[in-house]
Amino acid sequence: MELFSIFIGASLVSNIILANFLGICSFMGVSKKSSSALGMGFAVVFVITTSSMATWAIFHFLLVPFQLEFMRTIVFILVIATLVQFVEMYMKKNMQTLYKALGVYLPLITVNCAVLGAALLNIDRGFNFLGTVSSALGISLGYTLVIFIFSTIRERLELANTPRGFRGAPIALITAAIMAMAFFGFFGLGG
Amino acid sequence: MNFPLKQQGTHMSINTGKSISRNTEILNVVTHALLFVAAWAVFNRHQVFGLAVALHGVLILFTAVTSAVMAHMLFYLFFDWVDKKEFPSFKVQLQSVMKRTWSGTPIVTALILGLAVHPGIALYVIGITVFFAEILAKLLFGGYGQNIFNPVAFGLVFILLAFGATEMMAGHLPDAVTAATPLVGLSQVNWMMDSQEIQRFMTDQGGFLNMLLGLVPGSFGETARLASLLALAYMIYKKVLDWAIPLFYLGTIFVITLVYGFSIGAGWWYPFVHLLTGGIVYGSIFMITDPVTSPINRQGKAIFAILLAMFTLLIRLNTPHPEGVAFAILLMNMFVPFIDAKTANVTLVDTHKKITSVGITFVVALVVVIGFTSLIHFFG
Amino acid sequence: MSSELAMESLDVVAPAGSKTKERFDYKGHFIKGVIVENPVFKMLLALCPVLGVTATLINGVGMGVIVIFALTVANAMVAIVSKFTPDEVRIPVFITIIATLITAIEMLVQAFLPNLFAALGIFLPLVVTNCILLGRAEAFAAKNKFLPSVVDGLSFGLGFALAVSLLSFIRELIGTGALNFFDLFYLRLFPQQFAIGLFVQPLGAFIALGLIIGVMFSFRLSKEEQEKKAATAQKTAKLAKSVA
Repeated sequence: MELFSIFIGASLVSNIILANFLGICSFMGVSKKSSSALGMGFAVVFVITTSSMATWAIFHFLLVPFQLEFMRTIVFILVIATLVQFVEMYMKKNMQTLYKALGVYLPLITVNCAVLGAALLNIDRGFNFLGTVSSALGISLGYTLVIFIFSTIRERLELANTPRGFRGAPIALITAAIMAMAFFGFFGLGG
Repeated sequence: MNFPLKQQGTHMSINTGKSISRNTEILNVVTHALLFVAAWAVFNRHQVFGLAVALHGVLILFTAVTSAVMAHMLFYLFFDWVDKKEFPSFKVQLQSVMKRTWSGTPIVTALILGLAVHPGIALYVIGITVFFAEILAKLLFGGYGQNIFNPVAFGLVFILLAFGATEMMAGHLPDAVTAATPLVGLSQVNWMMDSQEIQRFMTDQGGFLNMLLGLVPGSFGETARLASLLALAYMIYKKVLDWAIPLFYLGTIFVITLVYGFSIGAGWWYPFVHLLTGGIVYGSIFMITDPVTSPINRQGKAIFAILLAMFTLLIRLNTPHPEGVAFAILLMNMFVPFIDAKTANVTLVDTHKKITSVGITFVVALVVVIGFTSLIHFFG
Repeated sequence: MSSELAMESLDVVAPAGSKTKERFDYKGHFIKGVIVENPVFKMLLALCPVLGVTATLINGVGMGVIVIFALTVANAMVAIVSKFTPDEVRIPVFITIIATLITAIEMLVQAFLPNLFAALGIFLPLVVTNCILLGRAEAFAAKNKFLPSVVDGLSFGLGFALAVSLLSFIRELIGTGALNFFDLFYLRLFPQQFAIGLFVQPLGAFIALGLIIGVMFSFRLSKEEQEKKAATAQKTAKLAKSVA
């Protein structure tokens, strides 16, 4: 059941946004419409999972044997950029409504720290292939969960009487802080 | 998602949908109930630990209230200064600040938090915690009626994260107080005991009645269980509280622990070990019933309470945390806007659908807790 | 999305095709990057490293210096290369340049400052996705000459470095009660007991940053409102005078 505990660890205990601080930019800019937050989340699930699998393979079968580990940053980011390009082309052709809804967000997934971060974290944590898949799924689903929850909270925040200077980003950060506190409850879950 | 009128506007009366006088009445009833529980708890601790601890408890409450009021006043003064608001005189400004402070209910939150913390806690810890809890979890979000997270739950987790275990205890109290509560001992075996161990545990605690009356180690609020239940009855009678949340919460915990208890051979008393140890009773009466941070209608409340129970037990049974109530509250607070959006705007009164949704949530909670815990324990 | 909006507003700073013959305002532009349009505190960019590496002063300053260097060099290279690159492959080319640069920096830091390398961990390679780098490359360096781009890189890098250093200064001070800088000096301000350990934990980063930005915004909004009030007061006074 180690795969299961990797999954729980990646999604809840070590949530990529709340515990690892990756993907904050997209977290703050997440839309109020929970449906587009969800759409964005699923795009990220696809990109992170496929890019983690690809980068793991490339790292272990190409870079390590030729002692080119230092090239990982360049190689990984190019793999991610290519993948995002493919996703965009595919969505444009086959899923036009979703493509229109996500619009500008798609190319920005390339520079989303969460994606590159996920690829690097998987290597650092030394998982085998299945472990990497499990971790990638956990990371991306955890990411989706957090931005979805935040999109539901967002609208309620807009109506509240926050001090002027705190509206928008600052209160979003404080909300993230309290969400991180809540997720701390999962510490040690999954053994 | 359309939100009902409750979330709009800034005045307390609009927020809770009731008139100002009714709101004051509600606050008064709650404060009286809290003071009753506090008095019982102080007396209680005196019986168990002696005068020093009882007095320390009074000091804790006093510090908490002072700190909360100061937090409000400083907050309003600061933002008046930033916005360069002008007042005819300082006295008028002070009056305006006091009026705003009063509508922010600092006293109630401070009392609830003060009763929930460890009895041996140092005064500066509670002072700082209440200060930050009021500002970060209540005032910055817009004040009473608009906060999303329960400030008391925030405060409890804050203490855990911000202060180390040893430094947070007041130095002058006897060791028996600052030692681990029975909760910690139970959590170290992950609440897995067979019926013999249960019997031994309960006799250690002095029996069922003792646990109910609270003549056992633990925090002030936790142990004043019978008092809390009496306060609950009083508040329901005065229609200040909706019985739905405590009922579904305690009920779900009872059923799940009963099933789990039988699966590990712990016998009929197992649910009571859970219910009568730690902050479940206190939390179910004073913390999870906060109307601001819980769903609006009964269906939402039921779902909220059931999932709360699920998280409380998940955390108790599967993580090193001894108590799961505070974390469960913060987790469910995050879902309240979502629950409200899905349940509060149903135009057709489809009772059948409502009941089914609650039922499904209950089954999910049961399956998740038992399944997850068994999975971990049999494979871990 | 804030980073996307931010990229748009970065664009406004240097309007496309502004091939002005007059002298480039180096000083004004420099101040712009550091204070007026501070990338962290005003544009809210690159928050990931801001939250992730500011637990100690050393890490914060170290990251700041690295970013200054990376941004300056990257801007310079992009300014030179952009003339020859066709539009469609612009972004991938910039990314490759930045990634190569970061890899080189990674190796240098690993060799000469191994402690910093270990402390920064994953955030060092992640400078590649730092919104400021790609944002400035795309919005300014691609459209301007070599020297202005260098100044641009220096100024925005310095703005970032100041912000990160300030945040790590505050966090380490309140979180541990002492400041520790490369063993050069060790300053203990108040005993460990009263330090609020929260601030050197991840949670404290969120809270500290949120509070700082919130307070800054509050002051700025209030100032803007005062200015607006003063302007309308002047207008009505003028009107009253002309009528009287």
